[in-house]
Order: sequence, then structure tokens, then C-alpha cells
Amino acid sequence: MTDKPLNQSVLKIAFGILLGFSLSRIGFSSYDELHKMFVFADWRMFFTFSGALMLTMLMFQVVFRRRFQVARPIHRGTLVGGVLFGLGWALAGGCPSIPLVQLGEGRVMALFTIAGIVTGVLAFRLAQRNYLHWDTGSCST
Amino acid sequence: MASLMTGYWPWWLGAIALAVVAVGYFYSLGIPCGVSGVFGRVANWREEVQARDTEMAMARNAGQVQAQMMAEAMAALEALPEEERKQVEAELRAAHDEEAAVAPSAATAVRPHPAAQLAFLASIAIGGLLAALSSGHWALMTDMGATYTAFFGNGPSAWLILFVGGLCVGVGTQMAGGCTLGHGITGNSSLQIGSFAATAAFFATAVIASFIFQALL
Repeated sequence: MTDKPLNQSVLKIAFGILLGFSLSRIGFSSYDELHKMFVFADWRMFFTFSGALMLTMLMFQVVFRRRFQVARPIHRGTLVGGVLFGLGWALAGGCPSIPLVQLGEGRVMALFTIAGIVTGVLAFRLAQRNYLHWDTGSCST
Repeated sequence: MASLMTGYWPWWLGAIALAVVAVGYFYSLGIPCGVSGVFGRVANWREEVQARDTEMAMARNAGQVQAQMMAEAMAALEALPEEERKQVEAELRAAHDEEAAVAPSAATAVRPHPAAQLAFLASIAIGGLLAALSSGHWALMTDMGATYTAFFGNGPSAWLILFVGGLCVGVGTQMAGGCTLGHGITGNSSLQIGSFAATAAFFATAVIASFIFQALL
């Protein structure tokens, strides 16, 4: 683990580039491929996601021995938020990093998706502060 | 080999790449957050800067505050008899030095500037750019692909759907406290019940919605 802010930023950017590159090459940024996964017409990306999950689980549980656990209990927002996110994913093809990848690939209309995400984040923050006051366990709060 | 350079990756290669990002990011930075958390921090720019300033001020002033407390304690000790005062003074000084030695670590707990978070988001886009350029697929496109155009068209109505979809993603990820990376990979691989539930919810919803689109549109 590195503590220097500059090293951290450089590492973060390196992982960001690798993430964007991989998502594009896997096909997660293509709505065509994504739709094929969601209607089970093509299992390739489903296996990609499951395989990544298995490998990460193996690393976290066996190799690093729970040194990097995160706590994610069920709370009020888990199911509603999950359903909303799933709907948004099917509508806009975007888990949050996807429109960024699409923008890089030259799909300029992803700017609408990004604008929607930023608006949604701010709207929820506003609702949270004024009405809800939920503990969502989010790393963003 | 040629297909690896230009076409979509086979499932195992994609799985390895995503796992490397998830584990490497967590291991080297010690932060479990996914992309939705970073989006949240960038969107709340002003609050993030304020919180960061506060953290920095606290880290900077920690030494000063301690020194002042020390001085005030010393002044209060003036009233004590000589022998007793020396003893308490020595104890205080030892405690102060010990804390001063630990204090610098507080400075590293300061959160990164939102500009650094924005740079992370930009780097994801750069990754997409590099992937498209290196496979020879880069082009300025105003559509979202054949399937999307078939469902939602390719004009203002499609843009509205993109915005609304983004809105759902924005609210949903903040509400659920994570996205495909934060819940789907990091949370699930830490065996978290909240991540199992969130992943089941968003995947099932996306599947049902996609079948509905296919049937109706």
C-alpha cells in the first residue's frame, strides 16, 4: 500500500486506463453486446463477469486472507437502489464507468448518460441531506 | 492472436483483466470504492474540497494545538510545589513527544482532491480511446449501436432515454451504495450480504427490462 498522494494518483490513473481499455475490449461498452448478455443470447460477457468475480474472491479470501474486507450490509437503499440501477443499466447501457469508455471510443451521445448520472448523484445527495438521512454505507458519503 | 488485438476478448482474458484491476486497485490504494463512489465525489466537488481543506487544516494544526495545550498545562503547574512540578512536567513532555511522533501519519489520511478523482474518470475514457484506436474502430459516432437505435431511435428521444437511464444509474448506485465494481466484484468477493442482494436486484432488473424492450420495441 502506498501513502504518497502523487504515487496514489499515478497508480489510480494507470488502473483507470487499464479498466477503460479492458471494458472496451470485453464489449461491456457496446449496447449490442450488453443486450445479448441480458437476454442470454450470448454467455461470453456473463462468464467474463463471473470469472472476474471468482478470481477476485480467490485473491481476497485465500491470498490476502481477508485483509481487504469491505462491509456492505443490507440497508433500506439496497434493493430499491439496485432495481433503479438495473433499469438504468438496461436503458442507457451504463454502469457508471461505461459512458466514459463510450465517450473515449467516440460515442459522443454518452455525454447525455454522464449528465444523467451526475444529476442523479446530486439529486440523491440533496434528497439525502434534506429528507432521507439514510446510511447507505456508500464509499461516497 | 490477431483477433485478440482487434476483436472482443474471450471470457477468460476479460475475467483476468477485470480481476487485476479490482485486486490491484484495492491492494495498491487500500480503497474498496468502485466507480460510482468516485462519481459521487466529483459531483459533490465543493463539499469534497471543503472536507479536504478541513482535514488538511486538522493535520497541519495537530502539532500546534498540542503545543498550546502543553503550554497551558505548564502555566497551570506553576502553582504546584517545586518537586511535584518537575515530575509532572517530565511525564507530560514524554507523552507530548510520543504523540508528536505519531501525529504525522494523520496527514496521510487527507482525502484526494476531487481533481484527482476527475483524472481517474478521465483515465477510464482514455482507456476506451486507446482500445478503439488500437483496434482501428475509433470513429466519431452519434448513435449507440444497432440494437440501441432499433429500440430507442437515434435522435432527441434516444438522448432523453440516455439521460433518464443515467439518472436511474446515478440515483440507484448512490442509494444502493455501489455499482458493478463496488458491489458486483469488490463487495461480492468480500462475501457481503448487501452486495449479494444489490447484485441480484440490478442484474435481475436489467434482464427483465431487456426482455421487455426486446418484446415491445
